Amino acid sequence: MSKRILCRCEDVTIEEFGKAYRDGFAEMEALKRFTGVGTGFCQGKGCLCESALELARLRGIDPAQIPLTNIRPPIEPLTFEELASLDLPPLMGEMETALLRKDPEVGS
Amino acid sequence: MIPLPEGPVPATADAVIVGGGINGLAIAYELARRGMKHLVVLERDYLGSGSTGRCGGGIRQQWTTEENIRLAQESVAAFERLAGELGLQTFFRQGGYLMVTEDESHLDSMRKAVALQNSCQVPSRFLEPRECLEIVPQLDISRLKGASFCQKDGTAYPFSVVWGYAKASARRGVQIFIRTRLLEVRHGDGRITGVVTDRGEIATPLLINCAGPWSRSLAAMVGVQLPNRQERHEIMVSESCKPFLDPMVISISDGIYFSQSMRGEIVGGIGDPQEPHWDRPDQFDTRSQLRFAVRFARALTAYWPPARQLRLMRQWAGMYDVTPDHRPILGGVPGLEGYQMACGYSGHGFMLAPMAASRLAKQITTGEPDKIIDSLSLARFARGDIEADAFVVG
Ligand SMILES: Cc1cc2nc3c(=O)[nH]c(=O)nc-3n(C[C@H](O)[C@H](O)[C@H](O)COP(=O)(O)OP(=O)(O)OC[C@H]3O[C@@H](n4cnc5c(N)ncnc54)[C@H](O)[C@@H]3O)c2cc1C
Repeated sequence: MSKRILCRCEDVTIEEFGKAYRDGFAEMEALKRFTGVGTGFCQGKGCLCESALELARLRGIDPAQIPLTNIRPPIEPLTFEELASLDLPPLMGEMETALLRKDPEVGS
Repeated sequence: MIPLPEGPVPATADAVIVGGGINGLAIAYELARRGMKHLVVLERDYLGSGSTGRCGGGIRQQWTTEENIRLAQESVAAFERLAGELGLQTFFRQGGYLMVTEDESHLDSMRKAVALQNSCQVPSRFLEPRECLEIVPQLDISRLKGASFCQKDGTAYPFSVVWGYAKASARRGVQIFIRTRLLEVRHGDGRITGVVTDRGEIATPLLINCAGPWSRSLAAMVGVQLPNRQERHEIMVSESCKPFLDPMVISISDGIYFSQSMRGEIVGGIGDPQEPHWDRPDQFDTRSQLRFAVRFARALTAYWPPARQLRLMRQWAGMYDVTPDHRPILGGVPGLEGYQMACGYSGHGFMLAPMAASRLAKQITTGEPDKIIDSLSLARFARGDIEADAFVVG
């Protein structure tokens, strides 16, 4: 049988994906970490949906019922040099967290 | 194969372990290995979804308190045999830990720590800045004042370790329920009697709290007040490159750490003194921040210039469960029979878990008191018997 590639960055085949599924890695969260699907340079842009479709097929359920893994920054990889040259932003959500914090030991 | 049952939980169990991170699964495995039957692990999300799956996988023995040194040392020995014992590749690699400092004022405690570590047979040594170049040739040592190094320290892949423990536990009959949440604990007359989950009730005489950052709120359900606070810590992974960084590099001056995984990626993080401390799960916020990426990139390129052209591929965040002395809380509490915990790891619970779990399981099954567990019990805070570990980084 010819080799069918699911994730090009990490070189994961449909066959390997199916074997991992049969070994008990039955959710996208576990399949991603076990097979490497979606963890390469494209961060799943080229394979996450394909993988979810394949998992839906394996489980015999509607693809809409497959929860996807999180998308995280950055959208495109950036060099550390580029990042280091940016101005330092303040901590996000500081205002909200300060308001939420009602710590009797700090007396707020 | 990790069987994950889908139906209702059993009506009774000899112990219910809350948390499918490294601690919950290692304890389940260690209890089962010692012959305990009818064990249930509850994980409300997927295995490793808490701190464990977000962590850097670093394992070091270079601590400043004897308990942490001993637990880490025994854990390293455990990690050395874990892959074979559990039957799964753990990607454990002993590239060493190079701990550097830019502060003259740290040198004294660093030398003392090395002496204490050596007295426990941990083969660490103190290094002058230029000696660091033998370990990481491209390191910028211009601001360094000193370092310590231990070749036996290293890293492992957290998910593999979690799956390994899960697989080996399941083989011994442990029932692991994912997507199953503990809602309530039944207790009265000074003892645990059962738990309520979203898949039914379980009558049990033993509840083990391995809920990581959620352990404080779980303990509160049975009236146990923990001094733990929770903090967000961010971490990232770069694109892969050829292997050229052997050890984990870690700075006790600015809290950066970075190592190269067996896949060639640089994995690293840096603590942020501005992060607030939380004590309620509804406050937890693990969104990623540009601020982290900028701070990490600045520190990384300053210590290790070859990283300039490398690209950051993904960043994420997790929670530390921090105690006042940065050491874990292990064991039970007086006056509440059947309640045990392993939490408060303060950012180093991946490396300490194998032996904390083994010692706790031994104490539970044999009833023999364990010296290290006793010195790490919750009661130490009331006794005032606390000695903080000085080398907490991240
Ligand atoms: C960014 C970062 C980097 C780190 N780096 C390192 C490192 O290099 N080395 C190291 O040793 N440590 C490191 N740590 C710390 C380490 O991750 C933790 O100490 C360790 O993973 C704790 O494991 P645990 O099993 O106790 O908790 P967790 O892994 O958090 O597991 C607790 C589990 O309990 C579940 N749970 C909670 N409440 C309930 C409920 N009511 N019902 C059912 N399930 C529930 C959660 O879903 C969770 O999966 C790092 C942490 C972070 C955040």
